[in-house]
Amino acid sequence: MNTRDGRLITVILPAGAGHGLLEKLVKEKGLTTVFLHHARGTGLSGVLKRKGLAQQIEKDMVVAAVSTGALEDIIGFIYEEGGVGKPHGGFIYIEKLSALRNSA
Amino acid sequence: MKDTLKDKRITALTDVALITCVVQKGMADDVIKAARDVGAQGSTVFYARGYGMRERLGLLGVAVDVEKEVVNIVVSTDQADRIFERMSVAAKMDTPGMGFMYMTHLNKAVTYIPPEVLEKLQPK
Repeated sequence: MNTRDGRLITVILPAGAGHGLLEKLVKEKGLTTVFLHHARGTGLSGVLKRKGLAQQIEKDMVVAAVSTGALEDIIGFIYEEGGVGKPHGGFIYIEKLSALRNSA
Repeated sequence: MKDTLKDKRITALTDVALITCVVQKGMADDVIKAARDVGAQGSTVFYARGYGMRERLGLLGVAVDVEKEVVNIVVSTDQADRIFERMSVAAKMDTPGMGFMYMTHLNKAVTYIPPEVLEKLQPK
């Protein structure tokens, strides 16, 4: 893929959920420009929210670079299959890419 | 295969920006606290290795750790500048070798929005 009209999708998921989503993106959507890394997250959620304390918890981050044409389809897939549409399921954000190229 | 887009209405946030702050390992917590103090709701942090400044600073470079922490915070555009400034002060960006930070505008962001919140956001 070689395009100047791409989007970078970053998905923040609970620890352990990233690998499953990554596999689905590769096998069911045929993505080759996707990777996974770990992070720690801070946020106001769960029981600690009532005490005003932000909890730090392990997260998985899945990053995928896609063409603009495939964007809506992939976001919908991640929302459903990645569990982002459920409470505390995660977060997705999308950035515009100036250039995207891969070796496949 | 189920068509997820047609079957489910997904509400996306559009006036959002991403602030990325690369600092020396151990400094992320101060940066995150500064951002939270002015309204940031959450953050993610991961580790990385950074090169460049250490070599350019000569003898002072020994004080620059190669190990970095990268802090990502998604903010609304109306809060973005304020949070960015606070983070830059907390990260000591006025000191050589402490790191760098940048902000990018996001196309959209998607997460679970509770129905009661979504109802308040609907145009009347």
